[in-house]
Amino acid sequence: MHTFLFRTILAAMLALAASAGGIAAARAESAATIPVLAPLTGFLALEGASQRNGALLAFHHHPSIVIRSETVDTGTSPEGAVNAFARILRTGPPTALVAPMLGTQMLALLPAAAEAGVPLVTVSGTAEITERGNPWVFRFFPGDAVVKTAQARYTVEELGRRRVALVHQTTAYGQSGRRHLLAAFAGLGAEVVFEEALAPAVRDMAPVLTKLRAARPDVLVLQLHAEPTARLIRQAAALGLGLPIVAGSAMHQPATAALLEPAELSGVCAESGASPISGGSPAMDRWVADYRARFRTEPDAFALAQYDGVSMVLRAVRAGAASGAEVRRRLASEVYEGLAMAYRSDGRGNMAHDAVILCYDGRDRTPRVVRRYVDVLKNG
Amino acid sequence: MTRLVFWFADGIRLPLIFAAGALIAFMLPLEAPYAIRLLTQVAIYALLGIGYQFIFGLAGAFSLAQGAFFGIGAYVAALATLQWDWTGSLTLPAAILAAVLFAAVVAAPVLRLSTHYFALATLGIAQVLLVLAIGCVDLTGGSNGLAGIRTLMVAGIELDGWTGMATVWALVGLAGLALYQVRGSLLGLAFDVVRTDPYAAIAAGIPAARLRFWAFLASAGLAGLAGALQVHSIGVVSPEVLDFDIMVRCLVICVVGGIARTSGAIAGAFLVVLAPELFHALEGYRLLAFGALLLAAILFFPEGIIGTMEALRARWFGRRRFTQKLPTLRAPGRSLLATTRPVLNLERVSKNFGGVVALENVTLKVPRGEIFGLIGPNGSGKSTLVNVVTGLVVPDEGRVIVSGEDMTGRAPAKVAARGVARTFQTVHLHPALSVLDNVAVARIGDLPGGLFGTLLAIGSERRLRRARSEAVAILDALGLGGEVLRTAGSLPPGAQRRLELARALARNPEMVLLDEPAAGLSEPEQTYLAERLRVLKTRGLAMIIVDHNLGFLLRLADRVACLDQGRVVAIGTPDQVRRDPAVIAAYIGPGNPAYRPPEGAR
Repeated sequence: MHTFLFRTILAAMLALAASAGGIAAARAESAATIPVLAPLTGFLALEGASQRNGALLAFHHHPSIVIRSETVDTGTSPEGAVNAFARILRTGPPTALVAPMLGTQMLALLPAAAEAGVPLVTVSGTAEITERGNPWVFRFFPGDAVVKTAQARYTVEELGRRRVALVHQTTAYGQSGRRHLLAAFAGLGAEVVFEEALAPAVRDMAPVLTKLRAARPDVLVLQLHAEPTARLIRQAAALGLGLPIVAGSAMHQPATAALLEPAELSGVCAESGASPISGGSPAMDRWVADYRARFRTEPDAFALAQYDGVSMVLRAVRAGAASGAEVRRRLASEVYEGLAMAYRSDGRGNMAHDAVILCYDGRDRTPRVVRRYVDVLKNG
Repeated sequence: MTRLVFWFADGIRLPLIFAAGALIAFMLPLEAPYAIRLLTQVAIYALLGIGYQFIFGLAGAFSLAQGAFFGIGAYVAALATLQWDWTGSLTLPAAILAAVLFAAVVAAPVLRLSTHYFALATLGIAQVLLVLAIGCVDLTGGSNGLAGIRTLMVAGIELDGWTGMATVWALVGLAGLALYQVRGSLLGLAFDVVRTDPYAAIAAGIPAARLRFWAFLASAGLAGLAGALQVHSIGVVSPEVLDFDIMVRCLVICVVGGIARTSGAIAGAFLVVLAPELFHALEGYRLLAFGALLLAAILFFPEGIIGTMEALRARWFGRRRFTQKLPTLRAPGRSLLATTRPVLNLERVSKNFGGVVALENVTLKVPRGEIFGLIGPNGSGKSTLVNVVTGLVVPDEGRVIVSGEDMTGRAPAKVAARGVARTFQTVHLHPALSVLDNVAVARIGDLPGGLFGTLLAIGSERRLRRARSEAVAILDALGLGGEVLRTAGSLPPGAQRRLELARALARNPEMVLLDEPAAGLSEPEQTYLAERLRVLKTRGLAMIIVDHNLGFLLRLADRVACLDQGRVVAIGTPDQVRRDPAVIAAYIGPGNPAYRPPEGAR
């Protein structure tokens, strides 16, 4: 009797477990491990947080996939990224990795990712990461070759300015942008009449503004991080510089605009991959609303690009890609219509090829998209 | 059993046990690749920290260039790998050499400075290198740095994973052993004195500048090695390796771990590398928690983690004992033979400080075996004369000849090496060191063997044993034989004066300059000191004694000179000087108890 009772209970439990497993299997079509490595502390914390938020929102928007993820702060040193990657590998190679946007960290991760067979999905703008022949890296934010060309073309072709003052940062971001801007301006026949590199710690912009004014430029082009961009624009307004400013992508970030008064933003434009808060489509508006509700902050192009990148990975997973190699193959060969633009690899991992120019009208802190450059390098 | 416990708790065994325990404790719950990665990183930072212990911990110089040397090593290894395809067999020595050479070049101007000036100068070096690394894009890759540096390969063997980690830890072991060896040697004693009291170092004849130079090079070499290993470990180099952040980590490693200790550097490296990793679960509060941990460590362990452990060990097991058998007596080296040649010959020496004349045309000779008294009112130039003779002050004119050699303008260490020792008006001893070691350290100039001899001694150093043996003999002769194991700071003032004299004698000098040796001594102590000085005189030692206690000095001296406003106004036997009208007018005066009117005046 006891034996019978025991067997009955056991059978019932097994049946229950099997049906529960079936339900779970029905709910989750597929599974993926996608850790998020981002610089959440240090001078790139703002951008790193956007990157992380974009990835997390993509996870949230794909409930049919069981996603195992862990967010790890990489700080801003290469060793921080390498340590974080080693930490991630404790549980085996992930399906894909949201990789930090800092170029030096990406360069450190490339060989390890190739060895472990992990696709890196990033929004890093540093040109070199896709120039090393590593097939495991995919950049979803337009690289400097794209956005700097757009920035230079807008300056020369739309604003009609040919005497350029260029102020850039001494960091990788600044140096990479400078290189591409100089080449683009040279190609467009514009003259760079003043050039200066600034360390991120420089607080007083008055000296550089005074010097550049003496060079008599007709436009000021910036390639600075968020805070220095805001500082320079504020002081330029205070000193009555009177030049149009075409800034780098840091200016498109709502957090940067929040550091300035709307009037100070008058006449300021910036390049970017996208500007989610500028709207453009009902889908984009819904995404922005969702982002604001979830993270209680304004989204920027980095968040959107990372969202699109992770969404493309998840589409691959849903389509059956279970390993890093399979995800890599799909990322390298397929086209994805994201919220910001259409993404496809150029064979080196550059997925984003469009850029936009945004301008502030001095009435509020929301920029308007004034020019869209589609497939910049292909269309010239 | 108790002996076994003591043996384990003593000396280098404690840090070794600590390191091994921490390694095992950390490894157990982690998967191998991650643990290996972190432990390799710990070892690299431990190496950087051990290097910094040489200049900061041992020499006490607040260098802010350690991060710069780390960066030099990193860039040299990266460039050598990428440009010439060198492997670790060459990149590691190249990185060390480059850092050491750079340190040697900047040492000349920088090591002349001290305190915050030295710190700022070294910080300046680091900043210049950082700017160069960012600006020289063609060479260094600019802010992006250089990538694609392969993992460590030595003698054709790729050292990755376990083997790489073991290699780096082996290098940590060697560097740590070197630091431990130096710290426990006669050199270590010398560093201790240099760090604590520069005047005591001068009095002991310690070549402080040379020691600081060695320490600077050692710290640079190990930092360069650590930088090269870092590059081979992560495969890229960027200006972050030259950032002040590396320097801050280095400081944290040494201060929180424990200054001047191998185990301190290892413990500090564990903390700096592992704590942020362990706090990952705290996400945004990770750095806050790390900062709080560091603050707590500094507040609650002011001597560092290892310093606190040593204090606890002392509380539980008693203070570390002086395990060496009390050294046997051994009289120090050379004997002073009688000669007519003067030991000191001052020729028309003058010195001005701004518009103030400190010495003017001072000419005097002191032969071997003479006690020469120097008197004069305050500000008459006595101390300046002593400082000119010992090299602390360079005269404007004239010559200082010691035993026939012109020593004018030579550094104090050079003058000391020529056989001139001194004491100071205010006692300058290392109060925490034993009486024995305060004297033993002064033997550093005479005993053979230097840095390499110390390193190669492995274990208890023969030179230190011999120095202590000779120190016992000297202390015994001055009536301090029963106090050798006491700390110098615990001696009464009279004994401290004699200890200073013992330290001066330990240098086996031809001449000693004693500045106010009887100050603060009781009558019996003065008598005892005078007896000892007479004994030394009979052995051929020349002495210049400056003292305001004329009763003491005039009874003791063979000849006396009186200075007034920088000029020698009288010179002769005590009686002659005592009667000299110029001396009476300038200094003694009829109201002075030491004054005995000349015969004819009675």
